[in-house]
Amino acid sequence: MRYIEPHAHMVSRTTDDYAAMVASGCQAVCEPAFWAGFDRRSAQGFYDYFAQLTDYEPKRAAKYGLPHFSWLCLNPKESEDVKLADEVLALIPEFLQHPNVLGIGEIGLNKNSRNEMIVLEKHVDLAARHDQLILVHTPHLEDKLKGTKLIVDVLKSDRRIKPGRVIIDHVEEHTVQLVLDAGFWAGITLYPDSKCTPARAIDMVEQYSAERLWLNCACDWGQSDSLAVPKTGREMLKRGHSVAAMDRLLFQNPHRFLSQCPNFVVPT
Amino acid sequence: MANIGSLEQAMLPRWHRNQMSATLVPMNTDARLLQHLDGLLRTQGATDDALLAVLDQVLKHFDCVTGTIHALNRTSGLLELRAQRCIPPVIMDKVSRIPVGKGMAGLAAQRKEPVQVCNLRTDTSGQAKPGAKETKMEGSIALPMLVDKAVLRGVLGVAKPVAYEFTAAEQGLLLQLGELIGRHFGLATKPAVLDHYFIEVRAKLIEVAAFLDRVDRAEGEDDYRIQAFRAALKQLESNQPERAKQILLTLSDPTTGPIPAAKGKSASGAYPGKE
Repeated sequence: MRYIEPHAHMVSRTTDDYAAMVASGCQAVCEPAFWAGFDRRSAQGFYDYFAQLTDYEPKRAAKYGLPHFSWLCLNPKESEDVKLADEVLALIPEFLQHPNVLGIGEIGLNKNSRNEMIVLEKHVDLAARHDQLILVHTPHLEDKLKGTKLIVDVLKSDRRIKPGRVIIDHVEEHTVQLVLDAGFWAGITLYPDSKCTPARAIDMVEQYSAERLWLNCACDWGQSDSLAVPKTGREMLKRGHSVAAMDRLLFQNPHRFLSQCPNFVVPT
Repeated sequence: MANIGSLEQAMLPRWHRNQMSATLVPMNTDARLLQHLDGLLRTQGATDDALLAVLDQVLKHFDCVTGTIHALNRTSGLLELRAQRCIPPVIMDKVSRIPVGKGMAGLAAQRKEPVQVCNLRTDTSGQAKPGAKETKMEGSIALPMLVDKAVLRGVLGVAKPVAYEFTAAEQGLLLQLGELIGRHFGLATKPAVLDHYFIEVRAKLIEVAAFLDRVDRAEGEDDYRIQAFRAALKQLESNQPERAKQILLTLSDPTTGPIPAAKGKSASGAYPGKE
């Protein structure tokens, strides 16, 4: 089995995870910028974080032979402070020059507030001006449906944004269709409690076109499993899917989307 | 290799059980053919190339010249040709889509049992279409691809250029091959889904019941979360499709506009009804 982990917050994981992922067939890991579990007090804190994502973490992954790529942004959980967001967004263009950067992400909404919407629009504008791929976080639980609709509206209203260059993540049964119908890619996140289980993920793969779907573990410092993607691959085989179908979903699909960024170089 | 207990064997997926037994008992040619073709389809899926490779192996094994694999299109009800060898171009139109009940393949699908003609050229039974004589074949058989003995997925057909009657043992192997191919023509059957998930989901159902009992025993008032939970439970009893989607919708914020400001960062899992 080979797979790409397109969404994992490795800065909050131990090197055991790197070793296990490589042993399970991981060919590349992609790390979106996210909330640290507390609000950073200044833009300087983000500067250090972006340096970690573009310099230190790729080196840590390389020790295990795993190519590491990053996405940059201010996470929606910290978007309530628009002034801080402006300062952080001003830092990002400098880091876009790094060879492991894939685009702007994970932007999006958390509680669907007006300030979150403002900061989302600023991120979308930044991505459009710098011709970057976009990775979008959709809100949790009861906020997901409304948030996903608001995000799709923001993205569709900007004519510079090509849906095929945007992945909207954390879809579930009530949002996957609206994301795919709008022409975007959709990510299914495998979590033990919230988001989606392997069985439900495969249900969605079987019911909707899997052409623009990918799976990810989004592992971080919370309850999550860095091996959720290969475990779901095994579940696919137990359900009767072929090795070829599993490879398309776990490796070829994320490879196809991410290869739109010239920095993403992973042999097929 | 140590023998494993019968209960442990029963808990393994069916294909795995077959593999286990295959390692305990020396495999004969038939078992090797089944295992080889199963591996081929598991690796490649039911692609046109894979099906043609499977058909070629089946024809070789039975010393046949002509063969077809049809898949049942559940929407149209027609048998659609997925792979063939030595079907003359003049009858390809008729062979490419076959209504259930018509010709040998259609009859095998309708009856869910093998349909055999010892000599196509001289047959007067009416089971074969007149065009079948164009194949120049004589001994011919069509077999339903029955998964879990009940779910029709298609029809496998093979034929020889000489008069021939396929034995019961040969028919048995061809039926097994048909089931094997048929498994790759669709999603898991109901028995397979139940084998796979029933125990796991049964445990979750009891967890839900115990949770409701626990909430009832606890002191204090119900809040919006348990009210939303009980509303969502009604979706489980519905016979409508997409229950998971409907439950997620029931638990979602139904409003459409942004809220003035985020007062916290976390979500509770149910819409409280007000900000």
